[in-house]
Amino acid sequence: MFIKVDPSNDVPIFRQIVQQIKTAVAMGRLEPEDPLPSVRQLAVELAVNPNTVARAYLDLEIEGVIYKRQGAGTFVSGRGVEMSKNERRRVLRELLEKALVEGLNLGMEEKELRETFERVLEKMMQARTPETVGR
Amino acid sequence: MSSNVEYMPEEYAIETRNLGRKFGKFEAVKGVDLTVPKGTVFGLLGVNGAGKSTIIKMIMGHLRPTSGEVRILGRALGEDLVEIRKRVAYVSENRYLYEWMTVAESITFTRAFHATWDDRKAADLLKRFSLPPEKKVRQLSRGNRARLCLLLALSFNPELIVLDEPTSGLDPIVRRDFIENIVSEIAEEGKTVLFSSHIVEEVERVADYVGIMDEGELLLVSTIDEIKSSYKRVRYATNGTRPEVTGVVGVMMVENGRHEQVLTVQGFGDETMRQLGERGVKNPEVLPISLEDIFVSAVRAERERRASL
Repeated sequence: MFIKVDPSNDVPIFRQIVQQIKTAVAMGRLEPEDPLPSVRQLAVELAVNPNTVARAYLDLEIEGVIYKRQGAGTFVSGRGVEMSKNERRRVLRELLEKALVEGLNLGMEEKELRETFERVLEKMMQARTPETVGR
Repeated sequence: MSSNVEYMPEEYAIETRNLGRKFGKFEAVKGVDLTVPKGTVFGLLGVNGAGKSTIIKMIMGHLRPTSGEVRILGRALGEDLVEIRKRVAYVSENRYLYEWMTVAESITFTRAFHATWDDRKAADLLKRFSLPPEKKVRQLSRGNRARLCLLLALSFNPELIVLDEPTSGLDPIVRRDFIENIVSEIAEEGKTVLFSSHIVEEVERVADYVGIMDEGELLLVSTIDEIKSSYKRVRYATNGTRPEVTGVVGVMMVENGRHEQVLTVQGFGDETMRQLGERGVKNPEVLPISLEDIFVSAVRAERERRASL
């Protein structure tokens, strides 16, 4: 499992773990019934406090992304994939936000930001059209 | 300011009351009340010269306080130093090793002082750190010296591990060895760790509690989660006129952008939002804030407060 935590990030470490496991599930890198490492294993691997990993697992369990089986360990549940839409939106929102802040810092106004966004999106959709038609 | 969880006294691994130390007229530590609950990892964060090492030396009984008292694992430090030493490990940059001994001899030598010595653990760490048993201590690299110190400290299964700037001056590989092993230790039931560092990243990775120190005072003690949920950054567009936000509860710092204002807020809550609304702030966005930024704002706010006295 590829998880990378960045303590200097504003997002708390346990939430970074939660988000990355959710993303892995949403992208299909983790499939239903796949086992997850134990709290201790993941804590040592990431070099973070075991309580932090335990907290992330608890959150994921409450949200139904993973489940514990007595004595056997922790596994990805079947319904994790349902969240992929929300997760995708969250990732996109964060990226857009960064770009918009840059724009604001460059002194752009709302109208110019909107127009630029529309133009970039339009261009990308045009570039994709032949491929979509070909299918 | 601190939102410490209430614990019974016997639940503390370390407890200091009004602990102070003067060197001549210079007050290195100013009446510090520090409590470290058993089974937790406590990171003491501060810039160089903040008083972290002085506190740790007093806790370890290496330096006599000029005021206050220390209790370790429920015992008064002054009365029970020998008993305490059996149960507490200490790792620092300046820990004493005998230069003329080999690595293996250093292990045998230290083993003799501890009834609780764990041979399997020592052998395991020796292997994991790839330490050369026949090499003399004086021939070891800085990183391997540090690894040997860690091995000697962990192999007698101490209840409390105190580390003074354990990773300072070490390369990233040795540093990672240190952090991984500390994590692995605390995964074991009941162990308590106190470590000092000026590296925010390290504290954030491994600590349950963080204590922020500056100029001999403990400015803030809390769990990392509590700190992060109590400190927030609030950002909003200014639309031509900047709202006057000085005096709004908890505002520590105001940064002005071209079209936005960013506030650093301590003790963030509904009241903050209500007062900001009154001042004409529209659509504020509440953002998380890194421990590094919290550390910097806490230290700056305190220094400004002192300067204004």
